[in-house]
Amino acid sequence: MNLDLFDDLNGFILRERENSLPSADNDLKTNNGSAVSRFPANTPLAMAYVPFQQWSSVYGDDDAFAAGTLFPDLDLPFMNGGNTR
Amino acid sequence: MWIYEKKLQYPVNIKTPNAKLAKVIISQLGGPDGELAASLRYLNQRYSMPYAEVKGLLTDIGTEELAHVEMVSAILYQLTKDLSTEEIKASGFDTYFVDHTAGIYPIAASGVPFTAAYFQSKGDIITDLHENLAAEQKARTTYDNILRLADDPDVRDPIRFLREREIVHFQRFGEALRITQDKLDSKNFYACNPSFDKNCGIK
Amino acid sequence: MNEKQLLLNKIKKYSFALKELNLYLDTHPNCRRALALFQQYKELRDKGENEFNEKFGPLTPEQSTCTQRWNWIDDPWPWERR
Repeated sequence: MNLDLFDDLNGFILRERENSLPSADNDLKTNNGSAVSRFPANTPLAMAYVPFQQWSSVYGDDDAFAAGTLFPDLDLPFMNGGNTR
Repeated sequence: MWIYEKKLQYPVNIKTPNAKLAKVIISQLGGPDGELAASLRYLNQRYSMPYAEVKGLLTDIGTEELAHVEMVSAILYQLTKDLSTEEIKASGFDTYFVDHTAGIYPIAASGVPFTAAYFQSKGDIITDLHENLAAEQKARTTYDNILRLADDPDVRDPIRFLREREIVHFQRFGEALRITQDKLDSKNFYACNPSFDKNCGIK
Repeated sequence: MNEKQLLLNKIKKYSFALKELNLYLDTHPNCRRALALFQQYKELRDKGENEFNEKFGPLTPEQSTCTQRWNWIDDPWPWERR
């Protein structure tokens, strides 16, 4: 029995969730030599962990310019009390 | 060294002057969480960084922030061009005007002039990256607040763009922190300082 | 927008895509899809810049090709209203 699993239950849940995502999200080996996974295997205490962006879809140059980013995953506008952009 | 390109990163075309708005937007030029603080923070931190990815990232984001200094300055320039004396008095812009006329000068909305005290370059990669994560969130919140206060779509458009850049920068600094973690011993990230100590983690 | 503004706007869009990919590649230096997209945008941007330089003048001082006059200093400068 792998006791490590129970020491890091949150990491286990994260890994299972990430691995169930469609392959475009975490298929790093084909397009990224030394891949960094979305979350690390170990997440010790007293440290911050930001998920590592995996290549996914990108906007065309017009939409990217208007949005302020190429990446729909990072397009997080301020919704001012009901007002949209 | 730096190359200057004679264009704004994103267009600024403000048709209607508004000194009241200029009074608050100036915080993104000379204020504690503004673009000048950001660019000096990152460009200064980069020298002590131990990893290529992070040296590159700090240089490139620091350079982009200089372009944002220029955009905010352009916004302020256009908001305060051709103001009448009545508008200057009515808007409360008179306290800036008396010292700077319609010149661009880095201060916060409170009137406090820009200072290096607004940023830190601690010479410890984990610390510096956390400083940067916080800085990008503070800048984003400042832009949120400007969007609350500004109705003019000519102003909202470049402000929205600048705000979104902060979110992207946050993500990249988070990735730099992940890269750093991968190079250190996860049993104790704080055993040594890779920005200063030899034999601290892998390169 | 006139022809100059249209062309400059296109250059801004391509330059922006390049900057975004630049930052992404700083933390993902081996991502082949980003590298390929970067080269595509670079080609478009360089083409646009050469055209702009020929028709309207330099975007950096070192791009200056005019032998009669130092047109780098000419108006408008980027912060001015159109």
